[in-house]
Amino acid sequence: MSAPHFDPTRRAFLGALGAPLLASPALLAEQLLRTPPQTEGPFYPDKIPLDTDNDLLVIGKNGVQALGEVAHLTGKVLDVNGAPVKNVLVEIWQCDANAVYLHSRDSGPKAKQQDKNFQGFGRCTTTDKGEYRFRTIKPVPYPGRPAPHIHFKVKRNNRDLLTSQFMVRGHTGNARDGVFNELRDLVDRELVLVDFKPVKDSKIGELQAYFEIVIGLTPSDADMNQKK
Amino acid sequence: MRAIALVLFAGALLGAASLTSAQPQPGGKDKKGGKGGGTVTVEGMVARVFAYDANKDGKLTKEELTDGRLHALFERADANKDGFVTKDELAALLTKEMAPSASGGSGGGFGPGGPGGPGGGFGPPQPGQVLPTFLREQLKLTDAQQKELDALQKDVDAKLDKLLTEEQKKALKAMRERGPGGFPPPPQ
Repeated sequence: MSAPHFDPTRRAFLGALGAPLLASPALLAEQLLRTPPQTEGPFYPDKIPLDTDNDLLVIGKNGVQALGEVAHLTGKVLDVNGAPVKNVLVEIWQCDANAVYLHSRDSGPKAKQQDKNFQGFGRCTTTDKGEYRFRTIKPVPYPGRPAPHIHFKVKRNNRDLLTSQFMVRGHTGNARDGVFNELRDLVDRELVLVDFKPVKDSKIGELQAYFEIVIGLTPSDADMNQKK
Repeated sequence: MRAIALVLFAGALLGAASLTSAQPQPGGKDKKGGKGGGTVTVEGMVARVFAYDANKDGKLTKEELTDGRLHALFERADANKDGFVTKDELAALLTKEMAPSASGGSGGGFGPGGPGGPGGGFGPPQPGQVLPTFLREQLKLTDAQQKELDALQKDVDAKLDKLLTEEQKKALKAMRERGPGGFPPPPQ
């Protein structure tokens, strides 16, 4: 009775990046649930580093690899109708494996503890299909934040479209985390939980994580999204 | 009785402090149960998920739930593992997960600007919470202490339950659900 929700050829392509999570909601009366905003926190870098590529494991081309469990983070940015949001900037930042953020207010006093090889901050512009990717570490807890998390922003032309965080699904610290619990709606919490799964056949225990971000666009933003 | 009054009063003080300190209010545009959007109820959350019940038969299948981000929730809610989630199953799960429980968990912690104060948004302490979660973390309680604190919390919850009337309990529940900004200033 109902038409298939997935276009099989599209799905095969998406499969290369990681399991697609969202079908085109053309059959749904409802719009997609938006990724909820969460606090930016105090450690968005006060000095944007020289290297802001999407590989946080290595600073520059020849740096020593940072400590931590290697994680390949991929995903998409979509609007509430399921259309890809192209050419927007995704930024992520997180503390290093020793729980130190790049921001000088944290790395200053904790300089001895800091993993100086961790880039700490990265950027990626979404493709025509709204896709982004990063290589980073699986996040670790931070004092006062039992839920390991990665901060992110989605920006267009230097304007924030969304600031939020995502957490590790299943981590026992989530239940005790004040920021996570600030999402009063439990459905919202589901939208910022990400699975970190082992990469098949990886000899070095790499993980993969897939995270779809759904944002609401104002009419003028939506226009710009159509044009590009 | 005194101890409980003290705990509630301390909660009110901390709540008031949270109103005065800088708290970012992201307030997304989507008001459906979002932070700025008013009281979150189990019914509201069930409605959000059951919007995906395409044939409106009161049972959700994974096929109907086209948003894969909700599949983990589906699996947790499908208590009898029959491949369907009913409204009752989902409501039961959400009620359980919402309860500010003995694990000192879902109430959220509050940090009066602790070292490095990471993040302005810890949320207010729950009325009746003996030690806000953030303080538990800050004090680095041992496992044994956490267990004792959980037991103390259970005791407080049980005694509070006995001493309040049904109406008062309803009001308290509403206050907890209202979240930040829902706390009246402490009496002068």
